[in-house]
Amino acid sequence: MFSKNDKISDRQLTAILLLTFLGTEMFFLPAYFGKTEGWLTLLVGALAAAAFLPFLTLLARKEPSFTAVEWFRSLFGRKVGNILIYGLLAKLLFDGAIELRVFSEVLRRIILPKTSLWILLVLLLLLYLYTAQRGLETQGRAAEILLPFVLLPFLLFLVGAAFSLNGNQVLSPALPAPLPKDGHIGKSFFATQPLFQAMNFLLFVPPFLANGRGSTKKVWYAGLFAAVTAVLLILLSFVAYGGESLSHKLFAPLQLMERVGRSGVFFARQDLFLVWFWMVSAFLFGSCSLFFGGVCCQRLFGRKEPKGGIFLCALLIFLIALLPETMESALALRRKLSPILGMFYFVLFPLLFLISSKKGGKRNAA
Amino acid sequence: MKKNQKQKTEKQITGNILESRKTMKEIFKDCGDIVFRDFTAGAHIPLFLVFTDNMVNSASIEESILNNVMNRCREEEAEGLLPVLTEQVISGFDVQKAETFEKAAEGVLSGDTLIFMEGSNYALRASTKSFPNRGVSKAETEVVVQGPKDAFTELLAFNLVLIRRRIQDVRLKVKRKKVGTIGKNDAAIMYLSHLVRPDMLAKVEKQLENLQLNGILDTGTAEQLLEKHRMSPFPQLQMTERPDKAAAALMEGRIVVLLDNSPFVILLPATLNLFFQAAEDYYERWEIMSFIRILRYVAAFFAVALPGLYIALSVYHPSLLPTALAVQIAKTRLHIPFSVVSEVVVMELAFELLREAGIRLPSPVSSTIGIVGGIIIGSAAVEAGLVSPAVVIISALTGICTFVIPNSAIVSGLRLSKYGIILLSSLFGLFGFWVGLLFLLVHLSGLSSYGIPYLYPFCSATVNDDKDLADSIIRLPLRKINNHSIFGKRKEKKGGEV
Repeated sequence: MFSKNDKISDRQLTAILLLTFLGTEMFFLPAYFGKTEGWLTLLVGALAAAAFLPFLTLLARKEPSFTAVEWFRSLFGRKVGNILIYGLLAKLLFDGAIELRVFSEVLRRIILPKTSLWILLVLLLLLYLYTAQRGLETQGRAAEILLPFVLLPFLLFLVGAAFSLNGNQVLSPALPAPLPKDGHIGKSFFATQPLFQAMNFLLFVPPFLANGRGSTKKVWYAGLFAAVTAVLLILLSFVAYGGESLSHKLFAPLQLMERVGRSGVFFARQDLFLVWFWMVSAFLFGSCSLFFGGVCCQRLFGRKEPKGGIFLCALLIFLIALLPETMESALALRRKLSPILGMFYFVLFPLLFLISSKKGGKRNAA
Repeated sequence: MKKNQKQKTEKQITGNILESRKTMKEIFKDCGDIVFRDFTAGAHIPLFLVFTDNMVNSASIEESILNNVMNRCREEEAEGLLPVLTEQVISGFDVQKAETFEKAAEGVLSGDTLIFMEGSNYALRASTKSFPNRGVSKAETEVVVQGPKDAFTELLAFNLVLIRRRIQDVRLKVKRKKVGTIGKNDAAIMYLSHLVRPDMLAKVEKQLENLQLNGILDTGTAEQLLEKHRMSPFPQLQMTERPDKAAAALMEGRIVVLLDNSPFVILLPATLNLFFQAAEDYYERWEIMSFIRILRYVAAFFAVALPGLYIALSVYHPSLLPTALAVQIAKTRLHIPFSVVSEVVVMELAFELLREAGIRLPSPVSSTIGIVGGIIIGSAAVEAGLVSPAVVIISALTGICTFVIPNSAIVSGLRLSKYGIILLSSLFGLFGFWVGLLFLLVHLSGLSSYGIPYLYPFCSATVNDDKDLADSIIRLPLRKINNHSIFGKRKEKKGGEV
């Protein structure tokens, strides 16, 4: 009846994606898009980026037992395929490491200014490691339970912050917005890539889905939700702070949601509690990165279990996370690399796989 | 067992009564509670009885066996006498054959009376069990306001009857086993054949047969051996002393394991949700019971999280607290010589000491100790300036929250987890508090009980179309509660389940 701790349902996959899309990039998008038409630019760009999500789930339908390892090998042969897989593994670890680094820096700046960075990195990594080695089903269950404890309060805070701003005229400074220019849309498409970095997991998740058929719609909804939430945050941040100061505000969403000033709210400040939302996001993203990194190593090197790969990936993530000098340099590195790698692995290759699979024949992943 | 002894017990019974008597005497050498009683049937047919003193119904032995045999077999010959005894003479008992001395010894030790006769190559084993017991009493650990109050006893036979009365269905099956290599305690597996999952039943039977322990004296021992995740402080099997709860579990398709000499039975499989349910949840109205269920879950959260959260907020993030509260806490802590973390840890440990002392002490004294302990630890410590009032309140509230949860086994897991969260909160503030909660959540998410996720139906509820959520954190009206719970036999869905 219940599988042996290695398959997740559509609902659990959606929960993981919804929570991981709420990543640390949300902190910095308002500053990047802080213009009158910025929210519209982001909306178009994010929707375009999210549109590629369903392609990845269609791959699961074609060959449910294949991960990216098997797809690359079947399409490009073993040698070239392996090189591309190493590239994908590097992207997976890089994204995980940068997210870990950025979140640790956020914690240091907001909650624990006197704690060493490496202690936070190690503690978070231990949590990721403990979760990853227990399997994907454990992570799916945890995500399913955490979803209402993150999403509902997050949305409530958002609504509360909106009404705390301007009362009934909450959107008036942002409307009407001029139409974004073509070049800006293209830029926003790339700039939103880090928002959807959880798409990495869709390339490895097919063998772990109990029933992949229903997942396309749900994955698309999750992407849509992430896009709309990011847009709302930017919109509200712009209304709260205006374009000029917004471009210099590092954690605008946190400060924005601190403004919920309704009577009866017990805590004097809510911003520290709000970090809980990103704590969960970072936790799931990190543990899934480790788990799928382990799966990639398992299939790449022909191991029986992913556990050895998980430990190796944990070590690599820790080392990569220490490389950038500051949080800003980590963010800049992510903004440079993620869009390029995302284009290849989330757009180009899935399309190639789908086209080749339409041409028919059972895949040989040797 | 030594080789000689083993050889003796495996020997077949022969028709030589003197030899049989000698063998039985040697087997039960130095056993002062084993009684040998010689008598004759007719004028010349020697027989003897063997039984354990005070473990049998002596009056019935006298009347149904001795008197009957002696009076009604005056003219009988030895040949063919035992079948006559079985079918016509010995009344009131279930009678079976024992062909080896091993079976005979087993019978004596389990409360049967063995009858040996000259010329017969088997002994008769009459079921004359009559164990000392305290009778059916009230449930002590699972008290209800409304509902039946009877509880299981140490006698397996009584316990089977208590359940049988509640499920008068031929499909209620009882499989008897012996567990323990030396103790050889009687165990029984009860299930409803049309509901139970065959694979789960087979697994439980195999596990019981393979238990390699000298003796299993209580279901608590068996519980630890049957669990899959033995290193976890959280129980994965449920124990109860209430027959109504056991009957309800059977009707959900679960299995009940009973052990002789234990007033608690094991219900399996078990999920976290079940530990928050009390028997009377179904005897009272759904609105109030839903409210109380929510209260239990909130209490469980506070039992684990409150001390850690207090440390995180008061030490690391006092700006989160309303100014008036923060000032008040600071004022009360002005002259306290210890850190907040030390205060909290000491108060929590003091509460644990009080709790343990309250269990071990005789009841007339324990309530006094509770009051004295509360006064000494509470008021006097505050007045002496050793602890702040806020910490006393936090510890007391945490303790009260643990008493709200109906099942003490799950409370043990929560009590231990609390200290982990206290440690992380004291090191890393709110971040450490969250890390502790996430560690706990991941640990619970990874547990399962005979294939059922431990956190079901809060996760993986899609397997049963979310129907089991109707009886989880709230309890919907009885008509809306699913009669086909996840534990029972069902058709496999395509593609596997989660």
